[in-house]
Amino acid sequence: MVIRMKILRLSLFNLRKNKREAAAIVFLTLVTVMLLGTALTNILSMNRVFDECFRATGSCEYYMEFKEKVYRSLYRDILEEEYGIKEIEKFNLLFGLNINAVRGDGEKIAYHFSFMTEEAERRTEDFVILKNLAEDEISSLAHPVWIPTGVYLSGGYEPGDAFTLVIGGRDYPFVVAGVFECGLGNNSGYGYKLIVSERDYELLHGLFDEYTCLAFDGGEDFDPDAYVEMCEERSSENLKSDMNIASKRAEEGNETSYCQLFMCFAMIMAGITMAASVFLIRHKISNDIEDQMQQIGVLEALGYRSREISLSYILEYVITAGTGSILGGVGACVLSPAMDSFIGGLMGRILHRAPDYAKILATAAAVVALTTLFALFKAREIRKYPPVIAFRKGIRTHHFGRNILPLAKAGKNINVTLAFKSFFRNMRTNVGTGLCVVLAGTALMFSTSGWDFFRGGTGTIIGVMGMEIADERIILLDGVDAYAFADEIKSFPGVRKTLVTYNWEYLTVEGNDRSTDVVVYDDFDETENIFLSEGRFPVEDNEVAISLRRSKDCDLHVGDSITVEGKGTRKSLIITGIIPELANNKYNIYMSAKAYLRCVPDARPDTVEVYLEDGVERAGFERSVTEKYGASAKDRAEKAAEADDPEQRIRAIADEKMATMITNYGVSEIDYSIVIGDKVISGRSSGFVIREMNSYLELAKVQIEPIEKLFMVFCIGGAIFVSVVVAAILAIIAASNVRRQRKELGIMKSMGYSSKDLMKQLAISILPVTVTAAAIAAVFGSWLYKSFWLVGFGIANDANVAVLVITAIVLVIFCYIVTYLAAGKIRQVSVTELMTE
Amino acid sequence: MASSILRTEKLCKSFSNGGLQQHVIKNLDLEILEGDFTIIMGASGSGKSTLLYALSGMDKPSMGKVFFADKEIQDLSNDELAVFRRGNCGFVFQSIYLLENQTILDNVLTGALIVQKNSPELVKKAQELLKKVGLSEEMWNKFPNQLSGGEAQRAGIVRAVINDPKILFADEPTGQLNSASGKDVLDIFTEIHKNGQSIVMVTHDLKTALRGTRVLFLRDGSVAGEYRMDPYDGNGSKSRRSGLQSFLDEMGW
Repeated sequence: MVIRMKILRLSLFNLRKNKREAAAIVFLTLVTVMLLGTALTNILSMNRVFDECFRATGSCEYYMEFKEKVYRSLYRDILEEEYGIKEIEKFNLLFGLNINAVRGDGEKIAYHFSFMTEEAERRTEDFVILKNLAEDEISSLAHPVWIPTGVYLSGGYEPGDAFTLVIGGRDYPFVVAGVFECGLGNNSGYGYKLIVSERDYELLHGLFDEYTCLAFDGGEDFDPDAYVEMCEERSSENLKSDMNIASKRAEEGNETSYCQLFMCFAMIMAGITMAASVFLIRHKISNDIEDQMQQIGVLEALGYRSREISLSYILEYVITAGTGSILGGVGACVLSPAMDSFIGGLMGRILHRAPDYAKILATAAAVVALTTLFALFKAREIRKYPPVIAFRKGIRTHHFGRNILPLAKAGKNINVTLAFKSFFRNMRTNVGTGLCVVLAGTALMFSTSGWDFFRGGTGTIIGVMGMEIADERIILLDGVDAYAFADEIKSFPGVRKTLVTYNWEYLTVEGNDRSTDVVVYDDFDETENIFLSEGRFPVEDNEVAISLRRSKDCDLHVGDSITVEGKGTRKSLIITGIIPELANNKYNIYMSAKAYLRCVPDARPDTVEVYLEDGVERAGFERSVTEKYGASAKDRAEKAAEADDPEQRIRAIADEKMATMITNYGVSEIDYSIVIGDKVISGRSSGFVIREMNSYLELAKVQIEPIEKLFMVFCIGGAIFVSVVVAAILAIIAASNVRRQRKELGIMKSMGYSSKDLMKQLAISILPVTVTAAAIAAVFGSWLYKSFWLVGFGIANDANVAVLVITAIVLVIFCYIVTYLAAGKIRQVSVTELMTE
Repeated sequence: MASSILRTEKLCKSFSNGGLQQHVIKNLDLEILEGDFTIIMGASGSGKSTLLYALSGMDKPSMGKVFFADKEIQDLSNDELAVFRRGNCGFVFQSIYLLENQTILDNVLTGALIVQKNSPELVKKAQELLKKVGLSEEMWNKFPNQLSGGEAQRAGIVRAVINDPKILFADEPTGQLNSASGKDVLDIFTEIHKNGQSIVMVTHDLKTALRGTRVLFLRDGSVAGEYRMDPYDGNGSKSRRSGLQSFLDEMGW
């Protein structure tokens, strides 16, 4: 008992003696537990959160949305007969891409939306209201809309807020009646579900494609692609262009991928901190043993066993790591709800859960155990020192080795020479310091590279999206000569360039069951946002380029061939290039118009992409297009009801019907004649030129900006965090070196070396370590950054070499300054201490 | 008459010990003359080493003034004092205090290179001085722990004089040496003094004190008495010894 108390007292004495180092270890352990606990808890439960959300809302797992023109009751039969799915809800919805929603403050956000009535919504899930206006307030609204949590969180809307949709240049003034929790249909990629009144649904019906939707729970084994193939086979329809699939699995993957990447980022930071703590503990124990060698000798001479003395050192770290872990655990409990809000924001869902105390406790216990284990291994060194050796201060202070950098050959600056001598003397510490700086530096390089990438704004990301994003995308009606139209548009003021392409088409690549988006241009050299990571763009009719993700996943390279199945055709194409692609499912293929026409002989170019000059506004351009070519079919349809004159009204209604037939049913040409008394009112659809005008640029901005902002926060936060860790490591090492070399420093001072000289020597002595570590960190950081983008997003995004070099230089300067300042303790070393020895 | 190299006015040095002020040196007026071999003696706790460190600028006095060649040094900052020391003072310690991780030659050069630029002449000078104190070439690249105490102290003396200091301070330089080694070290000091080096040495050993030209006896932080001798030349040691012994007896030593 007495011995135990003595051991405890010795530990407490050491803690009191080295308060700053103990505080640093407490801090690092705290951060480790806090980050690791929070990240592990959230990663492990991320998918469960999704399950809980679907359970709470009672949402179906799948929506199979077929355009009305291709829907067959056969599709429902297949589900029932082939998959044994009996509970199938059938309802209609409207779907629109890239619709601007304007808030009361004028801020415009673009979304993909699907519109449903409450009746349809209740058939697919429980319509769980999170917040809403009072019943009487709702009933007084002309155009109420219920928004899902995704729109609520990203747009910051509250019940009662204006929610104006801009469709075809016209405002539709909805008001948010309430917010509902939503399972499926709450995703920026697949679109958000809006619940509108039946009257508004009818109003919007003419503006958007209507889909017949089958909603059901498919279970684990249900393969939507196989189902669609079966539907296509039996109906002889090409469904891929005319249907949407929304599934829990796909939304889960889409929503959790970003979260998991950010959580991984937090775990990397936690790992660095943990490594730094372990290194510091090892370094400190070594120094303590060296410092207290004679004291250890005395204790051994008094009869203490080396095991008992070791225990005093271990106990010291159990106390510090334990304190840090407890505080870190509390921090994790506090941080966890904030992390939930963050994850919820990314997922567009509101998470209701308490911190996972058991996991946080387990993390804290694991960190304490690991720290104790490392301390145990290091403290066992005491066994090497029996009393006599301990009295003689071990063998560490005895030098019999080679004289490195003899001063007889010293350069001009004695401080530099002595610093390098010191560097070569402390190689073991240098290796440890170097490893810590490499780890922290790698994270720093990653952070600064990320910051550099995102500081370029949305334009930078668009550059790696692997799809062309022009200022305006005009989809033409069948029969319109896209090339002639493009030439006419080119002559518009403010238009810089036009490109002709094909609206989204889908083909199948043999050997891979994923649906494949095809990007087609006459000449890819004319595109501005599609870049090669390898090879060249496809030119001939037997050539194709593939996405980087497809190249990696399917082990396909330049020179290999793929077989593409089109409408009744099967063509083998040679891969000429690899294109990084962030958009869609990252499995695009790219081919020239010549090659595409080989695969789909009846295809006709129907889309013109317009590039505006700097400073030209999209709205102004759209106005001038509308003035010349008339409104799009969609716009005409919505104006039908407004005409006053009976003839005009009849023409408008005819236009509306034609527009609906053209936009929703793919009808290419219509003539009509109506006889009223002796009057014949006739017309034809040739007056329509434009099916739709939209801008992917705005949508891309909306989808990317939140991620961009979060990434920036993480990068800047990460850089600050790493700097604090590096500063803590170096400060402690410098302080501990000053303590260890107190006598030596006193002697140097007696010879006339000033504190500044000695501080400089200490700071210079770590330069070789930090320079080497920064160089290695730049290489590792570059690799980590490239891998992050490749694995996470399927694109080749190399770190900017200049940024890496600048970061490395800044890191080295930072390390020098921190060490120099931390070595300020040298000022406290007095020569008079020598006489008191 | 020799000029003053070091002078104090009302020099005081006190330490705080558990809240109590302990006055070690009290209002001391003292003058050290150029070329003198000054010995400071006194009982344990009389303030010998404290005075030595205050005179040399290693420590700041609590009050009073210290003039080094008419320049006040008591108000200099620590870094300014370091610069002052490197150009003017050399130190020899009782515990030797060689840098344990540097060779003997490097120990000497570490002291030299902070003042002088590296040159073959400087290295040669260090080597010659080491030879002169009896450290042969094979010892130059040895580490301090590979030398005897006497050898190490000789290296310490070379390190102290390599920059030709205006004054050499020594704090009981033979305190940890056996008598043979001690005598060798004292012979070196005598030799250096003969060459015109001013020396201030603290000791409580009579044999060591005999090498000086002026003995100051410290009691309770003040100079209680002073005794002058001719420079030591190894002759007439008996009369020299009895004269000093009488002075010390008178001082109550």
